[in-house]
Formats: sequence, C-alpha cells, structure tokens
Amino acid sequence: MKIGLEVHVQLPTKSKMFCSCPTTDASAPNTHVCPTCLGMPGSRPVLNREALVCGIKLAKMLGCKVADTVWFSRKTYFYPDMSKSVQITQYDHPVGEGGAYVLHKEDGSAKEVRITRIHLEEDPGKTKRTGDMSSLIDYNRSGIPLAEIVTEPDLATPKEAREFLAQLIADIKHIIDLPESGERSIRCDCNISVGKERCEVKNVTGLKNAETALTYEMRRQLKVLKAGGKIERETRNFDETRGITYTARKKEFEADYGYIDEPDLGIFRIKALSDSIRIKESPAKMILRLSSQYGIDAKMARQLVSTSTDLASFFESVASEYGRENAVKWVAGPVSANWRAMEERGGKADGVLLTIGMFAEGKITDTEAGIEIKSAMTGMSAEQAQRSSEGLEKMISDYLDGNPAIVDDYRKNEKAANRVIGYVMKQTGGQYSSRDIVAATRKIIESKM
Amino acid sequence: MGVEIERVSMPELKYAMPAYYVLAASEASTNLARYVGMRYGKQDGDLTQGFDEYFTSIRSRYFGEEVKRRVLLGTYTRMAGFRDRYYAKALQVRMLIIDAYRKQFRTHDAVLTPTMPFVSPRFEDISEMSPIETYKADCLTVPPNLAGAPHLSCPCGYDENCMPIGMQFVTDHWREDLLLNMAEDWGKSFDVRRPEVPI
Repeated sequence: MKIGLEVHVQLPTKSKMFCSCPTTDASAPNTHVCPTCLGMPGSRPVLNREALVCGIKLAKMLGCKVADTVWFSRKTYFYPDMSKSVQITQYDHPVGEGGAYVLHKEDGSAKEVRITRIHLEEDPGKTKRTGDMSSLIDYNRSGIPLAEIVTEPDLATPKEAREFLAQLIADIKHIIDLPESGERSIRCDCNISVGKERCEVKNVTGLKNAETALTYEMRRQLKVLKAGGKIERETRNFDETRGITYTARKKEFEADYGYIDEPDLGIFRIKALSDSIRIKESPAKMILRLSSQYGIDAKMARQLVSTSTDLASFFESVASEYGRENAVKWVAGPVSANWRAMEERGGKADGVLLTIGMFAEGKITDTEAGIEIKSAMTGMSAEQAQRSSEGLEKMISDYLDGNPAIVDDYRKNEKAANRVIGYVMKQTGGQYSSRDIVAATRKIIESKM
Repeated sequence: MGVEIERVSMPELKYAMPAYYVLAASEASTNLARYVGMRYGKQDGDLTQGFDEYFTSIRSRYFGEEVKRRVLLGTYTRMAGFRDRYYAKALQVRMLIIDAYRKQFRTHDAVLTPTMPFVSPRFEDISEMSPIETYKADCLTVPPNLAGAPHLSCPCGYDENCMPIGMQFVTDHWREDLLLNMAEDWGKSFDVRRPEVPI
C-alpha cells in the first residue's frame, strides 16, 4: 500500500499574500477584502515578503533544495469561490523541491519520507451552501497565503500517515510560529493506492479524519480488488460525520489548469534572502537530541517537547545548572505536570529554577521542594499545595497497598499504572489534573519498587 | 542631430509576431476568465443551472467575436499537450528577441524602424482587412513590446497623399532618458504638419 499526502498550511502572516487585507478572523463575511483579493479588473498583486520567508523556512525544515529563483503561475479554473477564475500558485520553480523528512515513530523506529516539493499559493474564498438551492460566498479567506507540501507515496499505513501528520504539524507550528488555534487551518489531500491505481481524498481536516479517511479508502479498495474489480483513478470527498469517502469526479475529466507564468508579478531572486534565514530546531529533532544528549528515553523527551518546547528548554537549563538527575526528577515530574497551569496563569519558571537549586544544594528537603514548586506554579498557597499533594499521594499509596500486584506488573509494562490512575480519577472527579495524577502515581509506584 | 546612423539586420525579429500573439492571447484568456456573469460580466439567464453551464452560457452570449477568438486561441496555446509547443516556445522566442536587442545595444544607443509596415490606412481600408492582416500591421511595434524595451513613435514624413509616416525609436531597458532626448531633438528639426486630406 502506498500513501502520499498534500498538506496545505495557512501561513501566519499579518496581511494577505498579494494585498494588505488582514488575515485575522473577520467579524462578518466579506469585510476583509479589497480590489486585489476580489480580483477586480485592473487590480495588481504585490507579493508579501513574509509569506516567502515562511515558505523558505518550511522548505529548509523539510530538507528541500531551496530555489535561487522563484516565480508564480496562474492556475485557471472556473469555480464560484475563485473571484478571478485564476489562482496564483507556483508551477515551475517552486520555493523548495526534492526534500527528505525523517519520521520518528512511536515504536522508536525512524523512516525517511521524501518530499516532492513545497510551493506557495493563495487560498480561494469559501462557499457556504444554504438550505435552499443557493450558495453564499465569503471572500475573507481569498488571498490568505498557503504553503502546499507534497510528499512522495512513502507512507505505508493510515496509522503511519497519522503519525507523520502529527509530527509534521508540530514541527511546522514551531518553525513558523503558527498560533495554537491555527490547527484547523491545516488541510490535507490524501492519495492512497492498494493496487496499481490511486485515489485522492480531497480536503480532509485534522489527524483523526486523515486516518479515518485513509482507513476507509484502504478497506474500500481492498474490497473492490478482492471482488475482482478494478480501482478507478478518481478524486473522492470525505464525509466527516459518516467517516466515509465518496466519488467527486473521475480522473478522465481531470481539469486542465492551463498554467502560465503570472505576468503581474515577475521573477524573484531569493538566494540572498534564503541564505540569511536560519530556522529553529524542530520539535522532532529536539526530541532526538534531548534523548541522546541527556540519556533519557525517547518517551520522556517526547513528553517534555510535546508539552512545550519551553518546558524542554527549561529541562536543559536545570540539567546544565544542577545536573541531569535533578532535571529528570523535577522537570520531567512535577514541573511538567504543572507547566500548562503555569502557562495559563502567565507565570514564569524562574522561581522553580531557584527552588530546584535549593534542593540540589541540600537546603530544603524533597517534600519541601515539591510543595514549593507546586505552589509557585499553580498559585496555590503552600498549605493548599501540601494538603492537595498529601491527599493525592495518600490515596495512591493506599490503593497500591491494597493491590500490590500493580507494582510487579509495572516492572513489565508501565501501562499497569493506568489502573491506579483510573481509580484515582474516578474517586476524585476532576479535583486533580490528570497530569498531577500521572506524575504522582509514577513517583509512588517507583518508590515502592 | 549629430546622430550616426548604421543599417543593421535583426533577423530574429521576424519570430516576434507569432510569439507575441501566442503570449498575448494566453495572458488575455486568463485575464478574461473572471467574466463569467457572477462577480464580473453581465448577470443574466437561468440561475438554477450548474455554475459551469451558467458561466458557459454567459460567456457564449456576451463576448464579442474578437474576444472569443483570442480566448479560444489563448486557451489552446496553454492546454496540456500543446503548452510546450506554443506557450513555452513563445517564451523562448521572447528571450531570443531580448538577446537580439541586447546585441545591438552593445554598440548602438537606439534601434530605429518605421512604426508600421505601411502608410496609415483609411477606415474603409481597415474594414476590409482580415484579422491576420490587422495583426500583421503590428510587426514592427510588437518586437520591442515583447522585449520590454522602451519605445517611442513620432511622425517623420508624409507620402504623396500627405498621409503621415511614423518612425520608432527603441532603447535598452531603463534608457527612457535617451529615448526622450532623441525625440525632443527630432521634434526641434522636424516640421510637423497636419495631413492635408483631399475632400
């Protein structure tokens, strides 16, 4: 089985790709529009440099060869949400080509996925169907900059495709500083072939949907082949509520986009710009580096980085100041458990660093440090923090005393801890965060081993 | 005027016409793609049809003959399977034309040609010309246009019927200054008169 993906990312620029309309959410339809993004006769596009910068960053992240010279093309197709019936995109000379991106799978193995190309283009408007036989068009989205990433068909299963997307999206968000709420703005076309001919499922949003659509499509194709049928090359749509795909159009009627170079934009020589751009370390690479540099297992590294790359950096600060042991003991434990709470309060981890320092120098005890950290991060008073953690720890400890087999099982399989976690959650009903419960359970089981 | 004149040959320019019309039609067909009777173009007809059918009906009904000719030509020249033969080839020809001018500008300030291949026709003559003949009238103005070179036309004489004859200066990219200076000098020494058309 072969799976290839086309991933569309809305780029976090302040203004649209070819005009100065804002890209923020609009209060009403058709308010963030101007002659250019409405495609009025006589209007001219001007390239947003920031969109190009984002494209170059992503091309570098994906290991692509960044072009020295790029230009744009007109892709002609007739659709109501394309105001000028022409989409400005890249055909010849896209921003990046021929990349390779390493997927680090949950089972610890790694796999290289080849990247065909990454190009920049403008988003069309949005069609909203109304109940009766009519549709409304909102052009607020028209002209929002997009990067399209095209992979080779190197993914082997729907699950692998999902893992790939999860890692890719996390990396993209970090590299181009995509806001958290931007998740919905990543869309994906999934190509899958079980036999020789492939089908494309268009416009799938979200990791779970991508896996569902691909799994459905895999089973459908297998069924057709088993029954002696032939897979027809076609474009299919995904029905999110029913979790199925259905025929959109057969490929023999595939549109001919009649690409020509965009004469209103010209040629961009980007070598100097591209050479001046350094990208941040991607979360996927950071996980690998943390795990090898500090000798922690990949799972712990993944948990730190996926909570927040700031937490992972904090781990590194603690490790360099007070040693790896303290970083693992404190940062991967209680600090990690309370990190989100701290971020939500807008807090900083400076005080926590000092507390860990006092513990490392033997000025305060294990328990005191734990209470201090909890209270500094959550804003609880020391008494509250103490009571809360004592109550939680006592409950876990009592449960383990009553079910000693869990500690033995835990040696073989860490999933044994889930029994305790489930029990505590049920008993306390939302009183503690799941992260607190997990951290405390691990700590206590490990102390009893 | 103190200008040295030298006769040169630029055989590449004969390919400018076909290349120009391929590129102009290709671009025009995409420029005109927005006129489908929705945001742009006349809204009319049966709105319950599918959008493809509706767009086609509007374009068939309201575009004029010359527009349709250029849209069809321009769509054909960029179609998959024909794109390399026409559109991409025309882009290569354009590079050839630019190079031909560059070669002359290494040793010359300007290229001087007549503006039109014939003396100004009368309206009744134009109405009898075929589309190809009208296109061909542009054979001297199209090459600098294709090359993106600045060019300027001014009257330079009159034929036996007193119809004006134009000449065209072409200079290198970014040399509009030369162009304007030459035209100004020419204007000082040339006596422009209104054509005395017999009634």
